[in-house]
Amino acid sequence: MYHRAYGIIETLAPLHVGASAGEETGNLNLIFRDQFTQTGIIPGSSIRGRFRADMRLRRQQHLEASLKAAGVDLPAATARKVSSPEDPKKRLPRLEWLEQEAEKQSISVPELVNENHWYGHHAVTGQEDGGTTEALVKFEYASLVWIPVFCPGQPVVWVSCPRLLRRYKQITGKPEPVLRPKAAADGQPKQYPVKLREHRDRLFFNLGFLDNLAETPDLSNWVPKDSQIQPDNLVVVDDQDISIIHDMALYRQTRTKLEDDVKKVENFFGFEALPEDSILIFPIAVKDSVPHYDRASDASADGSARWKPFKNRTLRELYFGGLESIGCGHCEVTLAGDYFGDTPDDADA
Amino acid sequence: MGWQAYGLDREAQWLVLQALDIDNDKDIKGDACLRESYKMRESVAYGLERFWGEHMRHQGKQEKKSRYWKATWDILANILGPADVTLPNDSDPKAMAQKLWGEIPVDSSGKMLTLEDQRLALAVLTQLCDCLVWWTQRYK
Repeated sequence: MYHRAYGIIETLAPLHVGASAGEETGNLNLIFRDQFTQTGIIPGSSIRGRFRADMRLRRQQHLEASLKAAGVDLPAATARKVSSPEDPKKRLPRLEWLEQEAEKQSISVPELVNENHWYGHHAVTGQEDGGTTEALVKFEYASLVWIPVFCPGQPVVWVSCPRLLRRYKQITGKPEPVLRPKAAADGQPKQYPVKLREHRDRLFFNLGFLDNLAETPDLSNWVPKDSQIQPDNLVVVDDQDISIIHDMALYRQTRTKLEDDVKKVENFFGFEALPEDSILIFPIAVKDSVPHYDRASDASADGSARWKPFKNRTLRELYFGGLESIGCGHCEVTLAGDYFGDTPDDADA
Repeated sequence: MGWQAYGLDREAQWLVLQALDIDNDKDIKGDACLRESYKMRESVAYGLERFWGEHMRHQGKQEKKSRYWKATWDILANILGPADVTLPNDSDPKAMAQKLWGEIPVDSSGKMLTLEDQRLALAVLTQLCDCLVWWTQRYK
């Protein structure tokens, strides 16, 4: 039914996906969390929204280029609203204006850059069932794989837990068993798998510390192989301990909105975000009516369109979430998996 | 044991309640020590030595404040004990200075306070003071 694919997100700036300042003025803007581990997530709808918006821009660019080639006078590039040709008093969004003109010129949009084709058509009034269609590409939420945490007096460590690693394994098809803290046979305290740059027997955090660390060299196999950051300080903690460590790791700020004419605080708001250098993963399902995408040959047998959101690349910088204008959301996304012609991890062995 | 929390909130709440009791007791005649927590949070930026020095500065003049600062230091030392960091706790400023700078051993075991220990102690003290400020806001 579906080709399997997945995306790896590495945050290059703090990432805030949750309530935004406008929605909860004067409050704390929290991120969305997974209900079991209480760690940050990006909902599938937010991921789809980002992909849809990016492809919509490509469709708009396509329409503009085609109309220009057909000799149509385009409105100024920065004009967001354009007067309707039929009724000059009616102001249309730029894209809608372009669509109308394209229809007159019988210019069609190739499926490759049609976001409604891949991500499902949005509801339109006056059509049966709102004119919606099923998406050909489906996204699930992104969960953390590794989150960096500040350790006073020690290097930063990236932390994960068995539950998060299990999801990573499910999505990537990694063959190895999930690493988890193990209780020693004689009922001794649990040993925590770690890979640390310098051998240490404990790790300190702001609110507590971890001891009984067990050196585990192959832990670095759990870092996505194309990851840009390649952390060499890793630790796997219990599922019930990840939430407090995650809370220590979050990027938090209190901000103020000043009044427009005087330097007086109008309201306060605080926000939290996943720190930069966090690694997340999300599954993607591509309906198998879409031909398999082979990067090397870049052609499908029947000439039908394939889903290539980043054109011929699999790595792109994208912005996710809110508070973009104040420095949040810059991420690097790598697409991988079966659909993109990747061999599963076990094929390497 | 694995993950071990320092229990900072509990300690901070206890400290703030103590300060509140002193301030409320007419017989003890406090020096309004409740709000010292804000000064404590400010002073951690200047390091362990100066934080410890503040209780010396208040000594003999504002005894209640001095005791609040010292109690906070004592609790920090207690918290760091299980983490195997021995925080010096002398009454002699000269010995304290040398121990805090890692020039002489902190105790008879011959252990020195390393730079890593100092950074850890300061990070925990910062968090503890954040907790103190939070509880002070709650009770004032």
